[in-house]
Amino acid sequence: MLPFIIRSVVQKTVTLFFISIISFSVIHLAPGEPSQINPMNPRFTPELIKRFRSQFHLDKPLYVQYLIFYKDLFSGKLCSWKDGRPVLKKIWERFLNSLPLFIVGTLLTWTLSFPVGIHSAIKRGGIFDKTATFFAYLFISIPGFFFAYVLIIFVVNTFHVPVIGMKTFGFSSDSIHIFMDRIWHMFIPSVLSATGGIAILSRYVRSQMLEVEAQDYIRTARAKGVPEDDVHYKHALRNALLPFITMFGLVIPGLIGGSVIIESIFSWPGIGRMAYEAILSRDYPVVITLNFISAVLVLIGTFISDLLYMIADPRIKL
Amino acid sequence: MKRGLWATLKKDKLGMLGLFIFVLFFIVAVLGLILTSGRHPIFNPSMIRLEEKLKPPLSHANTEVLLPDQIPPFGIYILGTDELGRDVFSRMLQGAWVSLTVGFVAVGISVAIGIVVGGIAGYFGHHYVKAYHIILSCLFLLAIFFFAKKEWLFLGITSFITISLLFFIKEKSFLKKGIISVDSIITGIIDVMLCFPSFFLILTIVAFIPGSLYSIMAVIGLTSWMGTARFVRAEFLSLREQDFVLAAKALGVSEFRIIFKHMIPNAIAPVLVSATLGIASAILTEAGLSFLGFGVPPPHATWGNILADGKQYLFDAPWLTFAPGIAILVVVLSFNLFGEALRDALNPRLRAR
Amino acid sequence: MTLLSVQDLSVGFFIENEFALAVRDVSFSVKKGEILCLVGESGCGKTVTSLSILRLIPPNGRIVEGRILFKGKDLCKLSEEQMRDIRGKEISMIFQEPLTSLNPVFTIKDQIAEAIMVHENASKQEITDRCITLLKEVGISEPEKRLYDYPHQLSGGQRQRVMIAIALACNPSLIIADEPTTALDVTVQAQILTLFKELQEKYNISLLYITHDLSVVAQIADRVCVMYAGIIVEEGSVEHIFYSPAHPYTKGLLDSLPKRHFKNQKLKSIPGFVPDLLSRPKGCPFHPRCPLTEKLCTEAIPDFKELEDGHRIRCHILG
Repeated sequence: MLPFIIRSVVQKTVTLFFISIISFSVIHLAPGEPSQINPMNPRFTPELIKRFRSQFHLDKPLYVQYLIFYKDLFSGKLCSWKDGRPVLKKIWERFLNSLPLFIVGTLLTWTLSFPVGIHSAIKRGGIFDKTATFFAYLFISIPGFFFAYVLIIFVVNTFHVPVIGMKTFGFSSDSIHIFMDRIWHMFIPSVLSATGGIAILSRYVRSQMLEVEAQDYIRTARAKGVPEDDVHYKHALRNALLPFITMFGLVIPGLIGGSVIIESIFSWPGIGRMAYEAILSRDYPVVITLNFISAVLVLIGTFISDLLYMIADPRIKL
Repeated sequence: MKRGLWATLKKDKLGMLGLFIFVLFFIVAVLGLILTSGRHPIFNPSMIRLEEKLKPPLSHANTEVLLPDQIPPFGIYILGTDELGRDVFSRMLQGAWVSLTVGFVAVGISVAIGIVVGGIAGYFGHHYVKAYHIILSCLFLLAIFFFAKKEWLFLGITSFITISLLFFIKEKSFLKKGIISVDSIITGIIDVMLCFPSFFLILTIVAFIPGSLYSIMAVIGLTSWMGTARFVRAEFLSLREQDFVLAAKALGVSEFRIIFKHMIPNAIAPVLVSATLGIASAILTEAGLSFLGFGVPPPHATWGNILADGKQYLFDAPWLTFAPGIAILVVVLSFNLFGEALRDALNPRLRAR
Repeated sequence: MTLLSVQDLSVGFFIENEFALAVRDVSFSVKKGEILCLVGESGCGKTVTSLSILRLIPPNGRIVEGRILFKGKDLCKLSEEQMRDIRGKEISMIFQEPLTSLNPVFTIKDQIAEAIMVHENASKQEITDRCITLLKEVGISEPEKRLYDYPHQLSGGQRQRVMIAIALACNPSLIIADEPTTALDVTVQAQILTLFKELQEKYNISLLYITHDLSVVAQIADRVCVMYAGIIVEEGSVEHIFYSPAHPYTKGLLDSLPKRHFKNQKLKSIPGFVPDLLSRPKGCPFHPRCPLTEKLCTEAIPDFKELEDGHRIRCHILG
């Protein structure tokens, strides 16, 4: 176990190192420096530009910029070029906004996918299976923004529920009502992100269950006289769930990956939109930091996945 | 095998429906291209008629106000008009071709890269990159760098070191030591690419490079080959150990032939499935990019464009949202259905017992 | 005393929108304490027959007609719940591939214990002791340690012994073994066969043993049924089959065994191929390959004719 952990950590650190270099260079090699944002602006005198550049170290050689940049990143001193505020702080604020959406979406996805997928597999070809399959394909294929608008039209016309933003503007009341207001606003975006996830995950669960149910040891279990429920939920499920235990580790990168589209439509001030705005305004520190954090999360996620896999499957030697 | 595959596929009615819709879509896209291009297209997607804006589907054109060449075919706006009075149906026709090409070219690129990268990793993976390979490559890069910077002195020194090294290699055995396997390098590259969240990556690149049809296709293709590469690598790794490869080698068949004639046809199954599903995903991605404003620049219509422009008029002119939305849904659905049917047909274990 | 009596069993499958009979009109019986071997090549329907006894055929299969009498009860008429009481308790089954037949995520102990717990109420200690006893019985060394191993940690032979232990857990009167040694080495095969014979002597268990290997038949069978393309072509004691085979197919099978004492001989084989399920010939299914074919053979499946006591064949010409 220990050699695996050490090897894994070393490999992932090396990968992270390469990622840091690549993201840094790609952004800097791309056309368009931030100091050129307003080249036509008469207030940007050559002196101002020079000061701007030296302040952001743009006049130093690339590798020095790289070192300074990452030093600042880790110490939290790195500041956004758009509004001068510390990057980590900005990210943290937006992260807290995205977090409820992420939690609710993920919870919905993972708790609903399994019953649906398992039931579809056990009663393969039945009405439940056919209906679930139909909806799964529908939700996989529908473009997110289109579905969002369909939902908005439907919900607004039927329930007259506020839809845009995190909370109703100017709404102040006691905390229970504020809480409910938040829930209302969170409702459609979470459902939106969950439906796609449920559609994909439940299909995968279904196909895994079907594959396991076709195995010989299921036949042995029946030959032993094991009751049908146990055949499905004890013998088959335990094997079918194996890949999903490892998938769970890959949920972690989702923390930083707020959906740009959903956040744009609902004007939700989350991380996705922040990334989008940062890219548009060439706010390098924010972009690179987000990239870096995302990479770290992916690597942590895969590491946890591998670890869980080793623990869960007795065939893997520890 | 091909005949049996088609017979199995035919039985999956949903999959056949998907294929049928795809063929329909293909025909519509090609027709659309023909009908909407040229100087005086039959269906004109960019004809602005400000007097006729936001008219609902199947409404008649106001022939009194319009010039003769502004009147749409049959005198009706089949799918209504948008906020600039343009015929939505014509725009949809134009957009069909875009969606089709983006889907196929992007996936074509990603599959090509994936097969090559995955194949190399799987087949040649156990070869080791030796120390002198690394040193020589670094020297070569340095030489190019000096050449670009016109530092002739340094260039001369580098060339000298390189040439003398070439003599040393034969003797010093430590230079021949294997440092890292080809497989590790390639999987490392794949892992690095996978760490970048894909939509974010696409957005970044697209924000910097002026958007055009081709750049979008290239970008989507260049950021989605990793899945295919992994499949191909896994298949090649297992196929390489199989007896038929050994048998071919024993017969003296060249490695090139083994790879192309024997291994790739076997490895192609998961690639086909992922390619079909990839087309669906590419179309959705393009629509998403257009929606955010990064797609193909106006006035060229894409389905994502139409949706994006229409979102301001969501409640007043819902057809601007529904027409492209449903179209995308149906096309993507057809690819998904066919892709899944293909996957079931190619998977021997899931056939009904 | 007859334990199991299969009468006129016909089983078919839905394949690609057609329904084909895999097993036609099969009848045989197993006495208490007897080992009956069901012999035939791949695709002759012997596995389907065995699965039908415990009603474990795949969902696209149907028992079309026939009765399966076990201790007087017709198994075809029992409900699923009643069948579950019989499976693992009165009739156990062992399959061909021991690795895939054992659940990879449960320990050996869990899997043997389950067979007991499903049918009996016993305390945990009792169950653990029973498991150890069973493992000893089937010849596994260090049973206390092996209990907590996973299937992939055992060798093929050990896994098959575990399968036998599971089969024995509730003292069944009949064990159905579907080619249990086909996937094992010859030496291990010999050990397993010895084990089966010991169990038969000790506990008077009946064994329905399915195989395509005539040498196995010679080693353990009391009686033999030879199957071809879904029907039984010959049935008799092991002496009848080996010393006075009557049906041309049985003779062909025995002839095709390489003999040790003749050098430079050509290996004999039965000309032609075993027909697949959807393309079985009309009439006696063996007629395309039979040296004795006549017109009648192409029209109707022959009935059983008794040749001598306990020895019968289905052949128009010899019967």
